[in-house]
Amino acid sequence: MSSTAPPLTIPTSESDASQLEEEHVHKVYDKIAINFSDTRYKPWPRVVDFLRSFPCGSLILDVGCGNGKYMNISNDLMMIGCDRSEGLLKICRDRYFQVFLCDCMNIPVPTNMFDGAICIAVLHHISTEERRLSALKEIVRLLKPGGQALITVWAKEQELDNKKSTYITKNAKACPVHGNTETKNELIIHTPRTEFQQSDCLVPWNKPTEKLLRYYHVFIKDELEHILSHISRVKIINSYNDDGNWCIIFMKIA
Amino acid sequence: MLTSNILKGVTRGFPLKIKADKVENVSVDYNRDFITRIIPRIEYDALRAAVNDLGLNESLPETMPEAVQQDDEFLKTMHKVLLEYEIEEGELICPETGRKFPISKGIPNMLLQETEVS
Repeated sequence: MSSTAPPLTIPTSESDASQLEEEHVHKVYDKIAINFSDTRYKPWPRVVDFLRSFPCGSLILDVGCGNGKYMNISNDLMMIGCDRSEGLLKICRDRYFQVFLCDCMNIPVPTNMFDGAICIAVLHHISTEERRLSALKEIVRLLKPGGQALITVWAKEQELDNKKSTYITKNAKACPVHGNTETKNELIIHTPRTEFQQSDCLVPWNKPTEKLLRYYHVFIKDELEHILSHISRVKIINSYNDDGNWCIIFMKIA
Repeated sequence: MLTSNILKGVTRGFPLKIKADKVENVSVDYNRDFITRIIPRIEYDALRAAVNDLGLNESLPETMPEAVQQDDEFLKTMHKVLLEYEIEEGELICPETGRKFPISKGIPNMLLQETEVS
């Protein structure tokens, strides 16, 4: 960030929010797509377990499929992926996965169509609660009654019950801790591999000196439940923390 | 082809029509159980129309056979049509509004303009 640029703030309007996401999510992922993909090849075991719980022939949508690391974990599932980054989708196409480009707040599929959905590490890139709610509403809309979705987001708490997540235990050396600016609306630049100082922040890609900053809203405990409580026909099946991520499995009820 | 059978337009527009400029053939392992279970989810008339519009070699009967599970020939045709044809370049067209969604390098671009979002 150049020293003359005013600090970025937490968006208060729709247009600010979509501009922030355009600059600090979409454009960054398009730039880092190949490098990102090379480091994100290992599927999370609990996501794999969730996907393998569906019967043969189930139609599953991966909302924010990235490089498609969950798209081929089972030949018995019809997986379709969507993402906002064309760069990442090109990697999916090289692997012959079925994907399309869209925004997760407007997913162009019919209502009550999918047996299941996953949305892994996506919602934390959406910059207002209203928009996070509309993304979750879309997932509920596209599920069949009885269909289930797994949502995971990055947790603000990277240490739970005295156990540090892999993210902060990989901390190579002590990093300077930023002052607490929670009361201001500024988006602070997060120091990688440390505890989060506030929920809305910019996370440097790779090196702390890196110019490529990705916007994150890291979630606090029960925040996903709170948003879901605004949507009807949702029954929470399981809710857990998985190594620094809040995760929720819910069902769309009739 | 399968994805195009599932996407919809701006509002209710579904299923979308396909205009293909470049179609590629890929080989996918035949999984009889899988294709049998997928078939009930398919908008058959739309798929059949797409097969005709695209001028594919395969032909689908006017109506789906009644005993699909015993009809291996039909299952194999459906497998080929749904999973082995990839539209690399072309567009998907909303039947209601005529809105065109371009397909480039096999990726349908379904992004909406701000004015299209309700």
